[in-house]
Amino acid sequence: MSAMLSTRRVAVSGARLRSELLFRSMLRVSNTRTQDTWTFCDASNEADVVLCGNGTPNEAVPRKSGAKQILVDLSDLDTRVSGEKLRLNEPIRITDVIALLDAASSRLAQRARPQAEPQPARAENGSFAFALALRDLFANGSPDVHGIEANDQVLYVIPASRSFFTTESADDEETVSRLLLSAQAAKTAQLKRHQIRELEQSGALPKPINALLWRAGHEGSQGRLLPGLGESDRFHLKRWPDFGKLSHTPGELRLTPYLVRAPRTLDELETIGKISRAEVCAYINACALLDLIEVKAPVSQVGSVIAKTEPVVVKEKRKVFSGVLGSIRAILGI
Amino acid sequence: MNTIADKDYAAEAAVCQRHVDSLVATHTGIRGAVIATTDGFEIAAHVDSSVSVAKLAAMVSSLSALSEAVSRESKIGSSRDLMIDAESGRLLLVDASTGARKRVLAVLCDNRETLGQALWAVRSCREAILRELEGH
Amino acid sequence: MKEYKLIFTGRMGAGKTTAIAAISEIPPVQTDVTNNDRPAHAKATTTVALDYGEVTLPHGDKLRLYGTPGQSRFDFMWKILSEGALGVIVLIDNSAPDPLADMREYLDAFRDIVSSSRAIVGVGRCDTHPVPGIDSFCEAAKEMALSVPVMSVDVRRREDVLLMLEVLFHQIEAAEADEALS
Repeated sequence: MSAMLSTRRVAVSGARLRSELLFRSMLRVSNTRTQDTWTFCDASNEADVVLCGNGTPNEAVPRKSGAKQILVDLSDLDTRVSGEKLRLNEPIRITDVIALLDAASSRLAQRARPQAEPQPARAENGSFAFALALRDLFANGSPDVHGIEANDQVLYVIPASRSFFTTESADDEETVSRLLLSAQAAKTAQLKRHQIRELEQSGALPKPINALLWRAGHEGSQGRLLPGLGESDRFHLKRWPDFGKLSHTPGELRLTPYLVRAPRTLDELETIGKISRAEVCAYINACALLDLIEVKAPVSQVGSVIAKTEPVVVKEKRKVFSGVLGSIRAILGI
Repeated sequence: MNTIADKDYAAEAAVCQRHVDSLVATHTGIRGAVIATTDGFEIAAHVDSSVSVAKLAAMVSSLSALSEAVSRESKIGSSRDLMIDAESGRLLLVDASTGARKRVLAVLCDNRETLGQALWAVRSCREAILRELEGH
Repeated sequence: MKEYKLIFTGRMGAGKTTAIAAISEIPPVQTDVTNNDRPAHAKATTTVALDYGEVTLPHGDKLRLYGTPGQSRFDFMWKILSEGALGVIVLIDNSAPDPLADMREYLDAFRDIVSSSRAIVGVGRCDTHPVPGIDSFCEAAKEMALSVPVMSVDVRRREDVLLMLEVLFHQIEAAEADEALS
């Protein structure tokens, strides 16, 4: 379950020809239903899984370099699937083969994890890669389950319902943190029907994606705007983000009503929110990932309503309520 | 229309309606009367078509609740009657509850009816209603 | 001494009294009576006039917190209470049969205040009733040609009530600043 979207190789060594041919034909059928895609290879030293015939000692099989290989004794399989001991005795059934290969996938994934290259604490472009993968997936609005894999972590998303889930055993926060730190481009792929069924059976419950997108936008920005958003563009917020669910800063709260009321430049937002350019970019990116931002064409600096060096000038006599709001905030501890 | 569609209250509504009709019929200075639940539903009414019974029932319940809240906050005990003295008439609100069933009787009078006459008539009507409903 | 009014509105059971109690410095004054409309609302009691709480501000100024009755038959109270209000907080119970219709009703009733950017919608029970989502509420407001912040909140939490006030206040300031510049 935790490893996915891989193409793996399986070989048969020392088995009767009849068994090998049977297994080859079953592999063609089972491939639409297994967790990973399996191909048959003749060279057992290149295979991820080697099915060893009766009496073939493990050490007799040429090993694939790196030791990420599973040897399966066809006479007494001890691969455990769903807590039950599986034996691949004749007659071999297709369901047994599928279970065997999926169990092998899980083991290979578990073995691969400790050997993963250590990631830098803060990878350049990492969150952008993940954020962009998310953005692209949600743009297509597909009702299918997709997996996003990076940094040895997998996140499952359903674009149409704007939801995500991880496997039952995975910790959401941990998975998301590792994905955000990934330096690799995130790989995405659509899940097969049986994988979805297994996810459902694992008790994984879809959760709204917004908080995750919000976090990806904030944590991945590093002072830059997402591709497609220009430094000289003006930004307009379609609606308020749901701050009841999304973390926010006082500066973001300050500038949000201005962003909702009219398109604003980054300079204006810095001034209004009293926050840094990097914080403004992070907020715009997060809003963009939630599809809340409309980009408007730049206007000349001359036409700018609020210049960076000129603070907002408000005619006090027209402010009816603003004066008392500071007092109310102080009393209520806002 | 603010009414409770509960057949259990049909008998109660019939009793109330009879007394309200009688009150308006026997006092020329009484223009109309409404009996409402304390949460603003009409039980019985006899008013002319220029007055919205639904709205009056809701307002009567708000006034009654405010009266009760003011009495409570002022530490003067439970509220009983409430009177609004207007340019061309009065509105009298009296409690007409029996047990857990809370009601308000509101009576609209014009200036032909003195306050004393109006109060006597309204309280008499209230007593008659309560006697009959408690006897059920 | 100046007085300011904040209005909490929404259908019966949306949490108006709870929200007021979360920030009032006095125990809220209530005008609750027995609810006879049990088929429509399970609550034992209902507010028929107003809930009232207050916060003392510097220089003896007061912030008065009013909760309206929920049902539309008391809309006369909505009008009375909203006169001169600083802002209105519309509370929606997302477990109600038609929360979007509820919001439309209150936004329409308080349209003048809402269109002056002095309103916010707080949607409760979103965790147990995630549908309709916040997007749907925003879309419904937009169809009424209104722009209003919509947040998912739990009014039992004081910080959520304060969040609504904060958003409301920032909106008011932005609207007044823009108006002053125009």
